[in-house]
Amino acid sequence: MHNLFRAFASALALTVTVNAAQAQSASMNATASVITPLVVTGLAPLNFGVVIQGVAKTIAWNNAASGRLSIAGFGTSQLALTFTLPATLSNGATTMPINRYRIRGNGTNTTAGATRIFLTSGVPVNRNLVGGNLFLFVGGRVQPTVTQQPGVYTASVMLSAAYTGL
Amino acid sequence: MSRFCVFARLTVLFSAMFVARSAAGQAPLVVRPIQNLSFGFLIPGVPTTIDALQLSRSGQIEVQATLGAIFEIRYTLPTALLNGGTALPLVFGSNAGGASASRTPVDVIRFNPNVPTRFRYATTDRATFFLGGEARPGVGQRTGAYAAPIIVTITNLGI
Amino acid sequence: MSTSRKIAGVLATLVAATVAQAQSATITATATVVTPLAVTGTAPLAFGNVFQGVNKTIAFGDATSGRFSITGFNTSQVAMTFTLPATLASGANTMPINTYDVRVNGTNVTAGATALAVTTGVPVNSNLVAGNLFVFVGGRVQPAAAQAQGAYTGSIVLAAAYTGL
Repeated sequence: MHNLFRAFASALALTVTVNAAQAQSASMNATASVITPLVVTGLAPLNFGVVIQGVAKTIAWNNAASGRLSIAGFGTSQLALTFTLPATLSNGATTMPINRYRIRGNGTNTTAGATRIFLTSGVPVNRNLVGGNLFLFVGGRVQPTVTQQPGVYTASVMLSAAYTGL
Repeated sequence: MSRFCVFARLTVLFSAMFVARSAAGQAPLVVRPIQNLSFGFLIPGVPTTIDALQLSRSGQIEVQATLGAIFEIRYTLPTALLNGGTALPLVFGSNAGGASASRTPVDVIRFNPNVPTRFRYATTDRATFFLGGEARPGVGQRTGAYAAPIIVTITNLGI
Repeated sequence: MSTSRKIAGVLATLVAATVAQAQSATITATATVVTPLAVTGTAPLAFGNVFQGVNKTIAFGDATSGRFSITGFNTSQVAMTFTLPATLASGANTMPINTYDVRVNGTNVTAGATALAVTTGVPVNSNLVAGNLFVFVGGRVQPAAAQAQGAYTGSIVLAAAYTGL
């Protein structure tokens, strides 16, 4: 027998005489919803193309060269989205700053009507699926220096998504 | 107007006498369901465990009795959640039950909900009983909402 | 079990569940840094002496054809926009110029040069070859039978920009 609460444990009776035991019942439910796993897909790279030394270049979130990702899941479930946004692109040991990310989400794979997602790299932000889908559009800016070494620069933009349970 | 006031006073007196008589014999005991045990969204093939103290999800009832009351709590636990004819296995571990007067980990007493357990209210007249569990959807588990009833029976053993 | 241990156990369970449900995908951000384009007019399109009423054509491969050079990054694509005059001028007098023949090559030779379909003011794309592109411009002037004597000139302008491809 558990004595609620322990400060009075010594007062616990070892045997209990049961006289006209009075029983009450209550019920509750155990519930769960089984849903399809999330599928996160990178659809298109964020492609700045050719940039000129000393000339910053911006690709808007709705530009044809913007980065695109899709998430497929269950209904209108809420997701925690965590982006890992690089601060630089790399070409071997040489780097070039990338910043001013602009990310928008939409329930369909169109930029029209997409809403902005304010986020910080590595910090989850919640969004709901729309009809089981969420499409994300990623824009940004690169800032080559006036002496930036010519070459191809790359980095990874990673999106991790998880159901919040809501 | 005057008669009505007298009548009301008599009613109050009668109630007080009823409670006093009940306390002298069998301590009154009130059970209040608070919330269901909710596993939320499950992914096929991914087991999900709800701890008894995960307040937003654990199953909870409140039992109110008198100070010194002794009672037994017995759970009738399902082995599966159901969606029509489809089952989703459930497991309740030996630590899946919890009792607390403060609804915090500070004074929680863990217990095994698979067997009847007795409690005595030594310093309180009410406590919350929490129930966790583990849902184990199969890899090919059909999507949908699953549910099963849990019956909690409290037997008052006196003071 | 102490209280602190219980709390730690709950947190560990929650984190593990979240990780199990998380899915990730990666896209790549790419950029190609290039040196600025340099466009140079290296030779005029020179018709030399022309006679009244006699058309004169300078082919793109002639020694006096007009020439531009473009230097830039590797094999980047560039958009070239030509401004091609319709007349040459000598003071207030004008003389028609037309039938331009514009060709490009990766080296500064006319052999193997390819034709560009050029309309004035309309960009046309071509790729650099090892950072270079050479442009050869031919054309035709049409002096009238009563064309006033004098030196006639006009400006052919080439503007080039990276397309990003």
